[in-house]
Amino acid sequence: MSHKILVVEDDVDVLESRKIVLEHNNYKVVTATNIKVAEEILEKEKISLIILDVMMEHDSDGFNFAQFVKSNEKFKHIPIILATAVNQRTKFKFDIEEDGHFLPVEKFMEKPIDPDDLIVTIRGLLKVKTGNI
Amino acid sequence: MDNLSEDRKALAVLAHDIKAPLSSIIDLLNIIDRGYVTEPEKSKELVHRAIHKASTLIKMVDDILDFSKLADKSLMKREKLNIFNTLNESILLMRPYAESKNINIDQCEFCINERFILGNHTFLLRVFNNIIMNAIKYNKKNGKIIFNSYENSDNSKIIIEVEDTGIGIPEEDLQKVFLIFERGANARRNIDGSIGLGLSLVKQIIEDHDGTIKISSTIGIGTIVKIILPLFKEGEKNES
Repeated sequence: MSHKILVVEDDVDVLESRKIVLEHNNYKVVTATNIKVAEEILEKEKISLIILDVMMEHDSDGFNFAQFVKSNEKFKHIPIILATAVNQRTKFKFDIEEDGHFLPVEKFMEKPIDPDDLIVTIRGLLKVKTGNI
Repeated sequence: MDNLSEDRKALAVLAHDIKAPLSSIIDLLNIIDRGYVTEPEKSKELVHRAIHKASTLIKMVDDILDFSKLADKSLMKREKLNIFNTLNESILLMRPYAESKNINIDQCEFCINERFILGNHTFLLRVFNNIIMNAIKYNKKNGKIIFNSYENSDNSKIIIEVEDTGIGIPEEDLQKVFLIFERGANARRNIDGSIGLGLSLVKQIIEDHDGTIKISSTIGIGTIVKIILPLFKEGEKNES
């Protein structure tokens, strides 16, 4: 059975790109353009992994949604990849070592995300969490 | 927060706002380049999307260039002009866009009159275009844009109001609309490539004309932008 991945992203072009890459790799994909819809999807569907944009309608939406997932017993096992468009030059680069304590996600990836790197990362996280990719 | 910190914060926001669409373009082209999409029609659609995103980036860069031009006051020579002419020209320019969005723009009946100020037509046209564009973008379906004008009590200033029947600006955002790169929560729902320079640009231009701009708004009812400019005084000279 293939894993179902939730992509939360307010840029429809990025959403489409992620969907194509994931489906090409035989993952099922569900998408949400805001965190309200994402929360509804989590309640209804069995999600294996979340790819989450940091800044959506509000700058902190991605952080809030990550906190929501990780503080909920039902969902906290789901690995999250946090996609950020901010980088070192702006002093907002995130790092699991330094920022993981306040932002409980499994992986930060800086946009633009290389599609092949994304798949390798997803396989790694799913293997750790579920034993299959 | 000191000015340096504010500048750094503004630069960080600017970097993010430019990097986000650039990343999106790279994502779209990458999946074609890596062979994730094989159907020619789908590839064509994704390339078209990338071109559209690139166009919004050009608009952002144009805004930044316009803003930087304001620092050079020699580019903004002022001369005696009929401000109602400038407003009317902007209305004519914006009307087709408003109609495409089913927004009704008032005829501006008072625009047949003359009220002279010492101003720069190009920059003031930019001001009205920006305000009317916002009134269209953040309006409700089948909404209206209404213009009003009057003078202050000693007839030294002209006041022009642009009123819309739009979504309104939350009170907490009203204080920030003129800050560089700021967009309120309601504005973020209308992603169109704007990086929030528009109203800070407008404010700067109005202040360079010794005027003031005020915004009042009610959520769900609409927004009124009020521009106050000094009227031309006899004996004033064009700037050379």
